[in-house]
Amino acid sequence: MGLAYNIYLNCARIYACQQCKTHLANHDDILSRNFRGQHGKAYLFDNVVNVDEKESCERNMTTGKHIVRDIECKECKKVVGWKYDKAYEASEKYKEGKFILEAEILCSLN
Amino acid sequence: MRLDGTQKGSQSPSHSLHNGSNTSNGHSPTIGKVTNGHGPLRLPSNGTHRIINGLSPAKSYPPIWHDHNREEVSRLLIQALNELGYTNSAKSLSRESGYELETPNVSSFRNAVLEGRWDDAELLLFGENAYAGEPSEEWRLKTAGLRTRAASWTGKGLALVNEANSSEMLFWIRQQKYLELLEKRDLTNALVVLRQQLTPHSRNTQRLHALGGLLMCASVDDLKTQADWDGARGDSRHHLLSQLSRLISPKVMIPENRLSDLLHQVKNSWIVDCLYHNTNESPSLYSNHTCDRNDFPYQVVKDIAEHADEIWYIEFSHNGKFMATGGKDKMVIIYDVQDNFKVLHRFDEHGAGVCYLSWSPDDTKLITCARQPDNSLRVYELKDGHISTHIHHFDAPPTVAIWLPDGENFLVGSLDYHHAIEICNIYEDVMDQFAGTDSKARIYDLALSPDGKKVVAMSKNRLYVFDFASKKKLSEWQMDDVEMTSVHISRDSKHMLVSMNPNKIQLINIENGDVVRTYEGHKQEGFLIRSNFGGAAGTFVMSGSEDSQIYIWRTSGQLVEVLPGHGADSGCVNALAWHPTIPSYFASAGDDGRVKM
Repeated sequence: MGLAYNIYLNCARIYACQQCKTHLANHDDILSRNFRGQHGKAYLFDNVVNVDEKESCERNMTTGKHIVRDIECKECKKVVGWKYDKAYEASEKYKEGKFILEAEILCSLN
Repeated sequence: MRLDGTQKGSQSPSHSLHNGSNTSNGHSPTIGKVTNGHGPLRLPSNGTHRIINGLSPAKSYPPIWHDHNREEVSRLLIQALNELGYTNSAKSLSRESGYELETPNVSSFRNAVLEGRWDDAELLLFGENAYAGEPSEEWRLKTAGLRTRAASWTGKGLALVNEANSSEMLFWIRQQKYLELLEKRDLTNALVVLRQQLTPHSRNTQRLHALGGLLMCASVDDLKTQADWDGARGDSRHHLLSQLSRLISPKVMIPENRLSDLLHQVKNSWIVDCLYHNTNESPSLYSNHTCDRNDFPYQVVKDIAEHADEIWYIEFSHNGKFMATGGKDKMVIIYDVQDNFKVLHRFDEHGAGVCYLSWSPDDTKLITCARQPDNSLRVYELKDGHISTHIHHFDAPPTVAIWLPDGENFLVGSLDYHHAIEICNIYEDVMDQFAGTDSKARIYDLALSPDGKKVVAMSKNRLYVFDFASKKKLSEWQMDDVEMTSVHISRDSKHMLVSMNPNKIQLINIENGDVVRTYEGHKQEGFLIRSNFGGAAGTFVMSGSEDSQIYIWRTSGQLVEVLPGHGADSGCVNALAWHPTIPSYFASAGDDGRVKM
């Protein structure tokens, strides 16, 4: 749908898709490093760019039931993490609207 | 009054009516004495209404003609006739109407300047006060001399406009005198002029130093080039006269080409009001001008579906014979416009979607830019279709390439901040780089002004204006509340058209950054939609839109048409191109993979 170049971030440390180097998130937007994804360590980010969202589905996680949608890199279509749409438990509400990116598929750019 | 420019320093015809002897009354500001049966009407006039040769004008004319002041109209006509070269008609008009184009003082002044009689010129311009501070003996000599040459001089100067700076005018006259003395190699007198006459009257010491330096010039040609002055025999005296006449009250000395200026104003107001104005010709004066909607392209006449996916850029060649499109399917297709848009070439060497195309000035080469992951720029030779150049040192897409007039070098802008704005050539050398943007600027669009002097670079939030020759940054504007998507410079190189998300296009003055006009109504929020000037004389602004329609405005701001060319919901209309030689034709490129004409 239309021409749209990738968004470029301006920050000291930028996380990018390891495969295609598309910028994904700022280091300063990390909310928590205490997450685990399918491939190991994952970080919770406030805001990510250059990702496409797939369909939402209900998933059971270690912390409870959530509605999440996978996110993939706009460029190379690799799944890089997921976004929380809704959390059923009150203590998990803070995650709503935030993004998880798996550390393994990220690379760091300066 | 310039008489065709071929007779330099000649007498103005109204002056020749003088007969050298002023037996009749000198210029009198009121009409009281002249009998024309006007009675109590007193019109303020600075044209002379006099008895010529003892004969009064044959008829008595009412002073108001169709709500216009008769004197003004007559004098304008006399001036226009003179400028058109019909001097005899001008004389007889002057005789018949009884009005003169200029008072004898003004004519004397004009002749004094054109013949180089500077003292007379100064006296005539300023009256006797010009020599207020000078030794009275000289003064008396000069005024006596003037009276012999122009016996009707009363000692008063010419009326000046309010903002006229008389010492500046004096400075100009004396500067011309000085330069002419230098030309004659009369250095002693020149020095005298510089010291006694120029220095006390000028506040601009830099100019004085420059003039002083001219004394050192070895030859006359050197003097002329250094001072940017073309000599007493050249246009400089006329030029001085024009300069001075601008500061003399227009009633006394009608500005040059006045009637022509008035006609231009009328034509311009027609053009501004004409909604569909799509021609470059000057409107005829015989009837009020309006353009018909039928001359305007509002119907789809052709639909080309050669691309398999979204088309992102479209451009006609400069001669209008070819058209190139590039898009998401990584192909560049070139069509022959005259042969029913037959496909001439298909290029698919790029590894990613083609985001920009640029025809060389002679239309033999085409630059194509591709986005990630290809990030390269290719130059195709169109005779045989081979790639002559492949520039791939970019880590991010080159977004725009503009040919320079020499056909070999081109400006490239890219999202790679190490190579943000560069000049490359077809031999793959990087010729130059523009610095001055902040270190991480990523360029989305560039525009080169048609006069070749300025380059405008656009990153998402900032506009930079560079001087092209020196590569220096002239100005920078930040727009944090919008994201800019495209920029074009108008034909007169004074304004730039910037498309912005969300939903705005603005016409901005290049010099000072003022927003002249805003065009709205279309939709663009997330994608790169391009806008451009269109129409035969750049009188329209056209833009694609995310709602699949084409929007066209008049440059004065009114929305002229909204054309639903591409099917509803078929995505964005990404780019438009107006045919460079056929004014009633333009092409649009959309996400549906089609080009519509």
